[in-house]
Amino acid sequence: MSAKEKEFLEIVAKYCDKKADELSPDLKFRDDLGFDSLGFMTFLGDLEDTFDIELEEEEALKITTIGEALEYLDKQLV
Amino acid sequence: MQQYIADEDYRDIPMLDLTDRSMEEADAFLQQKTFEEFNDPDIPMVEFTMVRMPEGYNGMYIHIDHRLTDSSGLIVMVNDIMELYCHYRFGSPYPKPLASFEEVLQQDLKKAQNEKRRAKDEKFWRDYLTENGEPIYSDIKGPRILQESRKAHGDKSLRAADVETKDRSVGVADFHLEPEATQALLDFCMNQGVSMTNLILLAMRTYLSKMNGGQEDITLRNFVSRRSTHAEWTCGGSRVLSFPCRTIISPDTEFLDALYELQNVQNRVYLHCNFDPVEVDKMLKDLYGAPDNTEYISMSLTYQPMPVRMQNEHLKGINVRSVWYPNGAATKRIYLTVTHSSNDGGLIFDYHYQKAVLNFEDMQTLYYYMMKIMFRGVDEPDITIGELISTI
Repeated sequence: MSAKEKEFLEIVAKYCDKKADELSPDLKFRDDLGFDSLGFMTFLGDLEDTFDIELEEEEALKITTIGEALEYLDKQLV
Repeated sequence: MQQYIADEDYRDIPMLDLTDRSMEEADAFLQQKTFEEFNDPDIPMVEFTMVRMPEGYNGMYIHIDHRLTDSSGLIVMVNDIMELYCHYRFGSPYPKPLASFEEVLQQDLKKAQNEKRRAKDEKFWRDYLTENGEPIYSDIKGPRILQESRKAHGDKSLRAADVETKDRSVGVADFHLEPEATQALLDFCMNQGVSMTNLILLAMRTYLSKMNGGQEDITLRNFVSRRSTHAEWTCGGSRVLSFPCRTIISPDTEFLDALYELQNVQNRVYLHCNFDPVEVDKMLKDLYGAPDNTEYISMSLTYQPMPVRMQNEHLKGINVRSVWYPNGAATKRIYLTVTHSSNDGGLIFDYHYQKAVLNFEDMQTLYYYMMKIMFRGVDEPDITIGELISTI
């Protein structure tokens, strides 16, 4: 696991009271991890600040799983 | 920062016995006590009292300054106290430690020092306040309120209305929505991927639109808990901030689409809700120069999804009664707090209103129409807002 991926999973873990190593790519933010709208948007803001990226809100709002979020992050960091 | 955090509190907790009164009298007594403010310098801004209430309810009365905690913080604390009670009384496991208030506060301060974040938030709010021009006031009493302000200020184009500043005494109107009906709303929200907050906001704005000749441009104020991480949920303290929620929805928009429109607005606000709301108000004032003591917003909302809950198996089957006593001053014309009942999970709609300008019947009517709007919309998500307004 890359350092970036580890950092990403640690951020997700903060929002759902799970350990980073319990998180898998297929988990859904809302259905499996209990994110509400406020939580998800705050999480996106956290990603922007931590990785120094600019999210496209419309695109970011289509993300449903951890795997999709990681993929999106990868694209932003290229 | 340290000056607000005491290491220990050695005060005794007094016992208050109100069992010789009716529930109404006991509530009136505690309500009166709640009017007392913590104004003296260098005093604790919270007091705990053990209380024996009529009808066999035993528990606690907590009188606390809102600057110390918000409703989420208080509910987490009460639930923790009950878990501690079960540990010492019945030997159930010691509750998990809550997050440190001070550590979360330090993280907040660190975030606030992020200049890039601050610049993004500031840009967002400036764009948000300018993209549709000056907002316009709407009131459940109809356009008359704005017309009166226009007359008083000699300005036919005024878009903000006067705020009641002399008499801020508060009236309270509580309504309980049955658990089955509440579940129908929750199911709808779950199935459509929308939040209860946004459904309630849509009901509020649709009623305002109805009462103002179909006005499309409505601004409400929504209170945001700013509790997202596990630590933020359990650190206590007061984190709630409020921001304007402005939507412009044409009458031919279907109910569900209107809900998504509102949700999009709210999502954008959530992304920038660590910005100081006082600065947002100042920006609004600088942009449009509305006269002092005028407002664009007549209704505010707090949705509190977390109930005071007796989860411990030793407390199963015990009736729970929780009451929020207002502090006596209504700075908002209408302030609606929606919570879940501790007993049956149904929704409680708790309207605080300025008695100088509104009465209980106004709140009854408002609640009645909000329910009609929500349930009609849930039943017929493709009904247009215009049709909804004209047929309810």
